[in-house]
Amino acid sequence: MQKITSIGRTRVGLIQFPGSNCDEDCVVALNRHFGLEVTKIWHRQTKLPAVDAIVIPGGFSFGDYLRCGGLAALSPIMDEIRAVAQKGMPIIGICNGFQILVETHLLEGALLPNAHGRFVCQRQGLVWSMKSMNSGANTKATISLPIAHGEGRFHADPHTVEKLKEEDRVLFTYAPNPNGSVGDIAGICDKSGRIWGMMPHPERAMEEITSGNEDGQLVWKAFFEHAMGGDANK
Amino acid sequence: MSKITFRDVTSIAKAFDAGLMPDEIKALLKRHKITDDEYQKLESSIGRKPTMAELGVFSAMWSEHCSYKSSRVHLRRFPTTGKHVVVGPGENAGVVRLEGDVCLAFKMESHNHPSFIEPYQGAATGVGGILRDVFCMGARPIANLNCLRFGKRTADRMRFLFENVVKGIGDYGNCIGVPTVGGNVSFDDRYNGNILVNAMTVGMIRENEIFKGFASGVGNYLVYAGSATGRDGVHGATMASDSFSSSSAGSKTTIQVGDPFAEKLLLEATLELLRKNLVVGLQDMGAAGLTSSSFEMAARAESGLYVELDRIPVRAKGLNAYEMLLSESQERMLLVVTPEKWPAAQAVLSHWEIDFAVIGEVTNGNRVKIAHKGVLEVDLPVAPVVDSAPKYERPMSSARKVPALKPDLPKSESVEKTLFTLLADNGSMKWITDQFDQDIGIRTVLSSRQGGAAVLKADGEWLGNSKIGVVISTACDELKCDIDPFKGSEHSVLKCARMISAAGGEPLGVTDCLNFGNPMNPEVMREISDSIDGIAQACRKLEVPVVSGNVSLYNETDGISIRPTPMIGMVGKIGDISQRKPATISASNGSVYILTPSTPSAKLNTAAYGKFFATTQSPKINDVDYAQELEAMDFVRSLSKESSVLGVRDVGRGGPLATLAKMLVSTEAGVEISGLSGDEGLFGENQGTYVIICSGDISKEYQAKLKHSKLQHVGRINESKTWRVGNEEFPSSSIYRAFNTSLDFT
Amino acid sequence: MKYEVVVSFKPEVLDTQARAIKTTLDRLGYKSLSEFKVAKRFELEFPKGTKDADDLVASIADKVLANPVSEQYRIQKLEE
Repeated sequence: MQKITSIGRTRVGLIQFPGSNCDEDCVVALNRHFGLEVTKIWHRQTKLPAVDAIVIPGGFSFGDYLRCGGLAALSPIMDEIRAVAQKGMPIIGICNGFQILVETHLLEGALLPNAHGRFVCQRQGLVWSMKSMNSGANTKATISLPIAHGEGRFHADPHTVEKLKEEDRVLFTYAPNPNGSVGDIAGICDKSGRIWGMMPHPERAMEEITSGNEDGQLVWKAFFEHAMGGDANK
Repeated sequence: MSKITFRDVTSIAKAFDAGLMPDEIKALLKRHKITDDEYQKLESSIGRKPTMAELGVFSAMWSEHCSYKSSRVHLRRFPTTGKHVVVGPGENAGVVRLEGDVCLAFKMESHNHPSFIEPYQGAATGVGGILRDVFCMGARPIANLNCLRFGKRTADRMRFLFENVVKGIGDYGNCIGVPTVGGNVSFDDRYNGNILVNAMTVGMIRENEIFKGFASGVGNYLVYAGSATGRDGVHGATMASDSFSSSSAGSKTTIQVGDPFAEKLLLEATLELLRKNLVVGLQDMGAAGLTSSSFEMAARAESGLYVELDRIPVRAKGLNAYEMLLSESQERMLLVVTPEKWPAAQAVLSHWEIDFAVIGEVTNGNRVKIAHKGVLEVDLPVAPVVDSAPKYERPMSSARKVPALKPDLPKSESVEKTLFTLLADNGSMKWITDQFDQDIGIRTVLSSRQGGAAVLKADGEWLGNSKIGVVISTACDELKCDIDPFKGSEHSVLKCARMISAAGGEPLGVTDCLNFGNPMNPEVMREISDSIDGIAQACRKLEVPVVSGNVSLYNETDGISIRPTPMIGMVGKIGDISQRKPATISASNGSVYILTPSTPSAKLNTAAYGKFFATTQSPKINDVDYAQELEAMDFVRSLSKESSVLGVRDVGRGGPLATLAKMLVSTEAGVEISGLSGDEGLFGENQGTYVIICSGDISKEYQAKLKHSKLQHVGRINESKTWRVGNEEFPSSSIYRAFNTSLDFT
Repeated sequence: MKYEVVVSFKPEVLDTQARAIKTTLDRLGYKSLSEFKVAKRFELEFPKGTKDADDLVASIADKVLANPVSEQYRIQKLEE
């Protein structure tokens, strides 16, 4: 995988499922703040266009029927996503996108109904937990991003949680924990560091006027620099 | 009243069509609220006895919910024109101009009766219905708001109703991806038997893309798109036109079940069909389903339709014509497409995985003919069904008995205790708003989190780099409306305008949802008429016309009617979103000012205070001084340019001190107030009153401009944990706790 | 041939929906209820004589109906 030195040349593919509703927000966020070219890819496509990174946005794919992300994980496009993931394609799944990645088993764990049983929408404090992310983007130890989900409780068996921590693959932890996630885990990445999944919405924190900060920009920068610049042999 | 079960409809239909008048039909007519006179009018307008299916068509189209027969003569008195109006009342939604060719399409609608029976689905389908009204015109929905009234927290079933209404609104709105940014809620025992769920949607659209549904072009296809038809909601329109009795809590069969996922697909498909110019007509199947959508489109185009019900996708066995025509199964649309464009339209529907069927075609002449199993079940001229619905000037009483206030407590003991009571009754909405996605769409600048008007950006695909924003508010002061429906309604409209002005915006247009009791009761009819006149007066004086709305009558149970509740929704414009002022501040230091009418006229017994504490004044609301109101609105709007102004909030329920407390809930600041005193000064409610918090002082130059109002510096906020009001001092923790636990049901 | 697949959370997973319903039941006075579980039930029908129907059901349950990370399932044949 070629190391991308400038975010501006990155071609982003955005996967759309019936019911995805944070897709346009991601396009606007990436277009407006990073000048990135975003190609929308419908879930029924079986081949990906030439892209350098994949975004799986939030929403209610397939109405969250059966399980959140459960049906989306079985969509035609996901076979192709699995194939390119093997070859080191950087992929970020946000909220429902994270749910789809765990259902696809590209990331470990499961995302279950929030502990208090209700949908929660709030500005959420997060600790930037991944120690190895020492790119220039990581200038803040704690950030605040909007969350909005009914099924964000991260669950994995104790052995897996231990492994995630030991291998420094927990991206963010909640501070405080809004949904009962084990280990306060808000986002993780795979062994290669190229596949990211997170419940909070970085695309909703690009401008102070709407979110009170620009922490979302830091997260995107970290993804593009770290996931795309990461060692393919890891 | 005998119960018609669906098993019986087919056999009853056979009997009726054969010329008999079974008892069940008499009961059916009564249930449809078709009077003997109306039935005679029906027969004479078509020149013969109707078939069962035709009876169903008339009953739905002439029901209160669809025809507004009790209120139409009064609704005419609304001002509906103005320089910002692009589409006035009578269409799916009203449209006002925001800037250039970018417009706002908006409307409010009620779903009260279904929500009382099945709160989750009733509230959810209410949200779905109003969304469809907006996107069927081609507008992209950008904001949802919800106005709710519940009974006393301890009333039977109330907790169940409350939790499920909130969940229904949240689940539907969140799934479809439209942020829920505002609304209001209150609890009052007059709603014990009739809760209110009013849903509002605001959408954005370019003027030349505004779409109205016409069934025109002889030979064009009539296409059904969306979910399959079942028995849901058969009699829905007539139920909305029906008062409850204690026995109606069991009627679950009439509830429509919503599928927000299906609606999301329908929304995207509709906007794509309209963008690509692939349809001639488009109408959502809402109240009275297939019936209203087909007849209304035919009426607009002055054309005819031929429909074959056999082609409709169904999901229940053995549906007969009557049931298919009246079904209110959700998430369905009726399209009119030319044969040339049909392949392309079909491709759009298939892409979005929407079921569809060509069910008929546009014909010449002005009749609607509907066949089922080879039999012509409906053969009606369009005009009598749509235009000749009865219009009543129902009797109104000349004066209305003002209900006596029954406060629980003899008098107010202390500032702390009074404030506690007021905030506990009308406090934090966090438990509700946390369940609504307020940020999706990344346009939300101020949402229901901070308690004032909502403010959203209009940039990007709409206005490019412009800093213009949309401001939205909702309000109804039902306590004042109960005392004086005319003045209470004026105040409700003014409250919306005050909220918009406090945020820094200017009002553009109004939508309303008029919730009242039984129109056959002359006192209620008087309430409706007076309320409409009050709204009309305020709208004229503010130069803000009514462009859409809804009426919900028969909100009464066992003879007890709700308080007159004309819910107002208002949209406005702010020139620069960076200048918006929040209604809740994030600072703990500053000066507190209050803007009031020059002559003190705050009252307690027409205020929330009077609900709890005994007062000696007779309840009478003063005439509105519009000069003062308009001056105060201009004043607070001009403050938005001042960066030292931290927050502005119009004084609402509970009076100035409660309003100040609500502004400080984020930081739980301490307070030192010396400029307000006496119960009237601290808790009285009045017109044109605002609390303003600044980091510095407001220059005397500003104050010099005021002729009808005065601006007073009344105190300061600080970082202490104490409130000092006049001579009384108390820890702030109890009052903030009252605010935060306001929605607790324990 | 008719089968029933019942999917529920694994015992170690906190089922917040079950907990919420049980709290309401407690509040309504059903205090003698000692255990309350929530499950999803799926019904699958094949034409009579379908080959390997048992295996098909197991495959469907395993690959689609249950998430192996957090859920378990049981299969019951209702009709031949």
